[in-house]
Amino acid sequence: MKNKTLIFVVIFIAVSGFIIGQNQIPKSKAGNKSKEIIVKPNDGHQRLPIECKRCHSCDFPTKKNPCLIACPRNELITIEHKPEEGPEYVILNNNGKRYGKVVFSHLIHAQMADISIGCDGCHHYNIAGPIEKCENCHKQERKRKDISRPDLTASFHRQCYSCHRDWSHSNDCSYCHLPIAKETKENIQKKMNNLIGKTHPEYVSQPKIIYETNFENGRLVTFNHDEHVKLFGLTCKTCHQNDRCTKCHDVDRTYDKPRKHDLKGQPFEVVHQNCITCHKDNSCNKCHMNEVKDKFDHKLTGFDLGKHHSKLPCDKCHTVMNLPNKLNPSCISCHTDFVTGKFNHKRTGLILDDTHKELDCESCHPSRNFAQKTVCSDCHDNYSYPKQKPGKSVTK
Amino acid sequence: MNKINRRNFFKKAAAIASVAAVSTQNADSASTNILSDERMGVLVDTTVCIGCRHCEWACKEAHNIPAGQLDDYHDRSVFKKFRRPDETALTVVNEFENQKNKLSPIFVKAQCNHCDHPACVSACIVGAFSKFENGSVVWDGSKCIGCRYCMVACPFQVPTFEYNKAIEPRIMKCDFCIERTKQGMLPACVEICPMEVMTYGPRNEIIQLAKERISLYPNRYENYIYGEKEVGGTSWVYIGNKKMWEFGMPKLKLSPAPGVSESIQHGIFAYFVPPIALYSLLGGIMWLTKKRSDLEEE
Repeated sequence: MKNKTLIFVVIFIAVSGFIIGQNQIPKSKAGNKSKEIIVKPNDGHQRLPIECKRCHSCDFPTKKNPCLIACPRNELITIEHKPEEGPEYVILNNNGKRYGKVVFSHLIHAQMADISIGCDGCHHYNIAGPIEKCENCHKQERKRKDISRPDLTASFHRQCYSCHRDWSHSNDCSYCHLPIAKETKENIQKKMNNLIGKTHPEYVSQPKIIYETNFENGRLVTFNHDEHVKLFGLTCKTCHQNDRCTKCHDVDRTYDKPRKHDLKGQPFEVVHQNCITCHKDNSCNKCHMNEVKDKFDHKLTGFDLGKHHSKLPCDKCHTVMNLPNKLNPSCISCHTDFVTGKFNHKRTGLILDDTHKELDCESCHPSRNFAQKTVCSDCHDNYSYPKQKPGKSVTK
Repeated sequence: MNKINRRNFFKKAAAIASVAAVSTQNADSASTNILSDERMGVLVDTTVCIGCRHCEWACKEAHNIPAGQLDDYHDRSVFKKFRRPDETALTVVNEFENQKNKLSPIFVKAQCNHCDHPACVSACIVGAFSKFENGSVVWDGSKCIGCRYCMVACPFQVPTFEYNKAIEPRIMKCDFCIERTKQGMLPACVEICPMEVMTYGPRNEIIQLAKERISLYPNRYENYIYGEKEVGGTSWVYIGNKKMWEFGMPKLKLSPAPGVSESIQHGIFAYFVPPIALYSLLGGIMWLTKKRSDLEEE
C-alpha cells in the first residue's frame, strides 16, 4: 500500500512537472521570435544635439508610446520662425467654469519674446517641426496618472505669471479672463478686433553703450550694440534671454526700483556672461580701455573692405562667426573666377579692347593682386592708368 | 513571612507591567494598514504659488464654513500678519520676502500635514482621531470629549477648537477632503489651484516627483523635501527655494512625534493593567492589614 502511494506521488510530480515545463517552453520561444521594431527618427529629430535616452526611457519610442521622460528644456530649442508668422491672437480657456475665455495677444507677446526669452520661453520642449500643441504634453485633467508635468491650466498660468508677477498693475483674474457673465460673442469679437493689426512697438536700441567699470587697467568698456546685431548677426535672445519684462515695462514704478548696478559684487562669470560666450579667448584689454573705443574698422585687420566689400555680411567670408579667423587677403583666395578667359572685365566698369582682351591678367595686375594699382609701364612707356585706359569705360 | 509576601507581590506586579509594555511597544495606533504603499500625498511646490488664496476659499466651501465671494480673496492686506490655520480657515497662505526678486514674494500654504505617525491620534485618549489608509488623519466628533490634547500634541499646531461655540464645539482641522476623495474627487484646494502648486498622488510617487524637480532645476530649489522624514514622514511634503523652517514651518526631529511617550502610555493602559494593578494593590494592602490585625488579635 505504502509503495503504491509512493509511486503515485512520483508519477504525479513527474506529470505536473512536464505540464509546467511544456507551458514554459512556448513562452520563451515567442519571446525570441518577437521582432525588434526600429523606428527612424524624423529629420527634425536628427538635428537635435541630444541623446535619445535623454528624453525617451525605452529603446524604441513610437508615436503611440513615446515613453517620454522629463528632459532639460534648454537643449531642445528648435523654433525657427518669426513672430509675424504666428497667429495674432489665440483664444484660451474654452471650457472654464469660474472664469471665461482669454483672448491672448500672441503676436505682441511673441515680438516681446523675440527680444528677450525667445519663442521657446513659452514653447519649451518643442521638438523640431511645427509648434506642438500644449495639450499634447499637458493634460486637461488635474486628476491624472502621470503627475510628472503640470496640467494645462497650471502650465498656462505658470507661463503668464513667470512675467506678470513682476507687473505692478492689476493681476486680477479679469485682467486676462473675460468674466463668465460678460462672455458674449460680441465681447470676444471686440477683444479680437482690438488685436488685429496690433504689434509691439519696434525696439530702439542704442548704437553704442559705454560701461564704466572698476577695472584699473581700463575703466571704460565700449559696447557697439549696432555692430553686434547688424554686422555680427547676433539675435536679441543671445544676450537678452534672461532679461525680465520689467527691464522695459513698468520702469516708472515707485516701489522697489531695480538697482542700476545689478552686477556689482557679482562673480566674474556673472558680470561677463554675455561677453565670454564669444570672447572667451580675448584678453581683458580687448574691451577694457581708458578711452571710448571707436567703431570696429576692418582696415585695422590689414584688409581694407573698400567700396567692394563694405556691404557684405561678415559671414559671407568668415564662416565661423565666433572666430576672427585669418583669411588669405589675396583676391583669388575667394574669387576663384578671376581667371583669364573666365572673367568678364565689364564687371569692373571697363570693357577691354581687342588687344588687351587676349592678355593674361598678370600683364597688368602683377601677381594677380587686383587690389594694387594697375601697371601699364611693362609694355607702354609713360602710360599710366587711369590716364590711359586699355578699353572703354562703361557704367556698371 | 510578611516581607516575602510583599516582595513577591511587587515582583509579580512589575513583571506583568513590563510584559504588557513590551508587547504593545510596536503596536500601531489603528488596526488598518495606515502606511500602505497606496496612501496618498500632496507635493506643495512653494516656488509656484502666487498667493491668490483660492485654496482658502475652496476649502471653506468644501467644509461648510462661510466662505464669501471668491474675488474678495484677492485682497492682499491679509498677508501683513502671519496666520495659522484656525476654526474658520482650515488652510491659510502666508507671504514671505523673496530676497532674489522682491517683486515675487514666496507664498506658503499651511494645513494639516497628515503625519504617517500622527501625534494627535496617539494623544487622543478616546480614539477620536484616526489615520486612514488613504493617508488622511481625521477627527470623529462622536467620540471627542473636548480635552484638546490633540492641539498640544500636534508638532505643527494644526488642530483648533471652536471656543466661541457653547454647544457642541468641534475640533477643526484639514481632513484631506476625505468626503471628496471617497467619491473620486480631488481635495478642494488641489482642484482649484490655478498654478497646480499642489500635486496629488501616491506618496511614494510624490516624493519621487519632488526629487526629480530638484535635480532638474537645482538653482530653483533647495535640495530638501520638508515632510519626507520630519516626525517620521508626513503625507503633505514641501519643496521651495529655501528650507521650510525659513517660511514659518517648525524645524522638527525626524523621529515620529508620539515615539517613546506613546509606547509607555499604551503599555501602561493596555490589557486593563492600571485597574488590575490598582485593585490588586488595594487587595494586597487589605490582605496584609487584615493579617496583621488578625495576628494582633491573637
